[in-house]
Amino acid sequence: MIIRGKKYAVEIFTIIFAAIVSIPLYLVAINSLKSHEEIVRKPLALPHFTVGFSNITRAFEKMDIVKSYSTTLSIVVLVIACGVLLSMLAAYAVSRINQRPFKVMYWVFLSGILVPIQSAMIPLIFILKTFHLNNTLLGIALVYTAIVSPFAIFVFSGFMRTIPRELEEAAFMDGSSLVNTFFKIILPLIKPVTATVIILQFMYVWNDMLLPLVLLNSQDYPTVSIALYKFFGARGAADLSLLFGGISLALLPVIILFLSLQRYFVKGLVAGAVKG
Amino acid sequence: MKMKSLVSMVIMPMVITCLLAACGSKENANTSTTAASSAPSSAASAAPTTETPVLKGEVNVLIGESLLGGIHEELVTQFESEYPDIKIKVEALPDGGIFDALRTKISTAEMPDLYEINIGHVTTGLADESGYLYDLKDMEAMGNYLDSVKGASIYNGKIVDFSLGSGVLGLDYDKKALAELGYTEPFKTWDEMIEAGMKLKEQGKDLLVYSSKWETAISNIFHWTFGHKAIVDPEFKEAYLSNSIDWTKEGYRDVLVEGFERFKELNQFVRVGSFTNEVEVARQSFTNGESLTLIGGSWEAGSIHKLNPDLDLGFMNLPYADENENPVIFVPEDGLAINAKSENLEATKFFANWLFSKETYAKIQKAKGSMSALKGVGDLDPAYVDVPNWLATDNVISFGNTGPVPGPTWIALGNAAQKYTFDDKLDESIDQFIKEYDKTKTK
Amino acid sequence: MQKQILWTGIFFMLPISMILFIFLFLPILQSLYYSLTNWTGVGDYSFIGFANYQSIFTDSIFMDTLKRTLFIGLTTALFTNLAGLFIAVLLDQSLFTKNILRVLFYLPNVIPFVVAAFVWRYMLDANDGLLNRTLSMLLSKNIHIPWVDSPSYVIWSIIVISVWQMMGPVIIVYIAALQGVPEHLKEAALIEGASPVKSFFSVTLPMIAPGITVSVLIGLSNGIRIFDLPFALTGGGPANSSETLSIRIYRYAFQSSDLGYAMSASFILTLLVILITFFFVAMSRRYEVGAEGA
Repeated sequence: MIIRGKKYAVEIFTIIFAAIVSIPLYLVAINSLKSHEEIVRKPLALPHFTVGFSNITRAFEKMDIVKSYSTTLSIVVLVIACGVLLSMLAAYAVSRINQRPFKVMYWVFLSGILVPIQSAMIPLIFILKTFHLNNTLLGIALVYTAIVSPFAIFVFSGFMRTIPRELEEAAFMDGSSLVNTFFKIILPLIKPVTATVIILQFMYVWNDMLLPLVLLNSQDYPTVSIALYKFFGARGAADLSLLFGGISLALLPVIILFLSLQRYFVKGLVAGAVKG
Repeated sequence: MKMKSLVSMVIMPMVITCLLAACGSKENANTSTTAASSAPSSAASAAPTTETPVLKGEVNVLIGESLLGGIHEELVTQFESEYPDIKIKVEALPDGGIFDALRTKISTAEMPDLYEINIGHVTTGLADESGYLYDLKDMEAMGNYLDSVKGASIYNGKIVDFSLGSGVLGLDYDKKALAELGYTEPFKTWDEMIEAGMKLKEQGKDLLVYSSKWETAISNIFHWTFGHKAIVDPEFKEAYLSNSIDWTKEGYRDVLVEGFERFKELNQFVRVGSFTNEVEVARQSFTNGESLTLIGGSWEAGSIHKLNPDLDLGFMNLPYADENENPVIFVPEDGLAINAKSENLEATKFFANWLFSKETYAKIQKAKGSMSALKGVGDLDPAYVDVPNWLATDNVISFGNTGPVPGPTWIALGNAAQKYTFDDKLDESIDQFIKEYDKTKTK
Repeated sequence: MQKQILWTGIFFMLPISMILFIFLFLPILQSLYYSLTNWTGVGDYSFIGFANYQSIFTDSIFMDTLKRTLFIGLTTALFTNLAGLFIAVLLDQSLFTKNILRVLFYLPNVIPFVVAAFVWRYMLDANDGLLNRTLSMLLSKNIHIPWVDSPSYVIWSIIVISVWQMMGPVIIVYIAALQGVPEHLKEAALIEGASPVKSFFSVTLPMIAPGITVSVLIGLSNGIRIFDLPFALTGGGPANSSETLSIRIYRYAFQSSDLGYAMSASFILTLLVILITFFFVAMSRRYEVGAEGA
């Protein structure tokens, strides 16, 4: 009984905490149902439902949502496909092979985590031009991959190091190759981490505005972030109703992704394997 | 099994996206073929009636989303149906990112044919240095422009852009509220304005509000401080407008001292939030009646009326000095420049002449609701009726945006002045500004 | 066999290393070269040695900004992790509303900075913001604290908002790490008579050490490089008091024509950040190794 009571207390406490954290979200939500004048005049008031969902539908049209979704999703998928898989492989190598070159590479990757690419934009464009990759989806995806993968490598190798070696050694004994061992034993164990990395990478690419601004022609490749920021005009020309409507549209895929990856946060994957 | 689901987790979205992308591109293909197929027919019908020079090609345009009042798509459709041989490709960026993109494009030699510039922005100098600014003085459409706007569009001896509008900086005010406070006409002197500020403070209201996010407003009164000095001292005027003031010269530091003191005095009566907020928020405080005046310009009557249709809007110059010495701060808006190195120069010029013809410009001006830059085009808001008279005086100081002082330095001035209001260290703040100024001044 | 493993390892690392070299390290190295010149972004330039660096280190505004940025970075990292770990532990319990709560805690990270800043301004507004109104009601007197308009409060406002924003990723990293803690070890500790708090520190914490390293890095990297939030919230004001290094670099690089200077400022930031990363990771790996041995 005491334990159950405690459990409810924890639950209620967490819900209240979440509610406080969500106040700004609530403001976003109510404002996406208001007209521009209402938003500016009374940002904290409840909507009168005079505009209904027209903000969202108008934003849908203005953002050319099919085109901008497919542009951003193409980039995201390329980044995740390259970034996650290649980072995993590299992480496996640096976390498992105990030799100097691999240890050095670990620190090289590590140094890439925080370098601010923003200030190296101009040299970057020259490089992209050399490879004929400027204003292409592949080009920007490769740049994103370069930006996000050091962190992915770091995360993967950190978690891979906690996986006991006995598991793989047994496999090696059975004559399994490194590649085989990686796919059969390691990959299933790092699923929760992979889900985490995918979400982080997705979010970075989804919200980033700087790279598409300077690397892509927004007429050819309009990304969701650029389309959204266009509603935030200069010198007070912003149409806030469109902006808040647009946010709902930009948030939707992220929420779907998050919910669908939830099931990989399952308890006991690593622990179960260790026991087995 | 588990492996498989992980793989499917990666593969599935990929497939979906490819499908989506395929749909997207198919849709593009469709629209472009329809455009292509409809083009010849309209060309056939248009060709005999209009005497268009045979110009072909694609004109690339780079603008901020709001530069053409958001109607660029309609304009392009109209133009392309009239002149199907010229294709217009407009890249409209978020307004906040336009100069970042332009900056990068100049450095990487990826310049579009027609692009947004601001005469006072650093990118204009870079574009000039790289030979991207075409002299527009002989262009047909330039003939429509007001001389004052033309004069303010000169960079390095060339007329470099088709400005989208023009206006003067000043204070928007609520006529009714001013009358209730006991003033029958706009403030004539600085002291009168400060006195009003005190009265308002007793009522729990503020004298003025502005947005420091808008870099023109962050150092607000210094436009008038420098402008006033420029009117009384031609030598200073020349140094100021060419961004080469030597602050060690006798009396020049006193100008700064005066500016900092005045800034502090005025900003006692400012609405808290002005140092950091957005233009929208400042404008809202004004139209709600929380503040008597708003630092703005003669281009925003449209949006103010929209926020509060009942407001009886007036517009006054900041009473910095006596009327005969008080500067009128004239600011041309951003405009479009032609790339002198364009491969499609003739087609670009043709499109620009069309875009800034009286008919087309009138549409843009209506969509933007700003003060017109062309002779005899558009209506003047009642709040601004006096403005043309101000412009007829000898006290006009004109430049783009933040003025002859580059943006970052102007922001540094605002920050130094704000610092003085918090910590009272006058000399330190002034030295801080002079250091920044010397870094970016013309040598 | 050893040789085969070696070659496979190299084969594993090669593709990503190439991408990293070409699209990350090469441009950074080039900008390092430009930082030794007086390039404006167009036209000719000349090699000026370390002149840019010399003038940067004597620039008091830059040095203040550097200190402020470090402060924001470290504080953000600290509080993001404390809050994130706390929430992750809560969400690790078998709660009924677990899934929806996880989404709620994660969502702040999804909202673009510009929008978050916009909404937060209305909450923190000095005149009639939500926070001041609530405080006025609770204390039944008029409260007009300038949360974002005074140099003394604005930093803390920015830290709170960025903790709010960065919590999401940190929480999911911790949740993922907590999945790996075997239930039976915790139970064993409890049976041995350890309090839940003690078992958390002695059993759980060492097991999630890699998660801590990752999360602190997330906090640090976002805190030190923070740009969008202060830029959108205050534009760096009032009186430069919320200006960060990234904003300064942005001003040098995009608003003034001083690319060489911008790149040297940015290289200082890079170097600083790499040093902090290395130091921190080296420390935490020692801790991990220690934990493994224990």
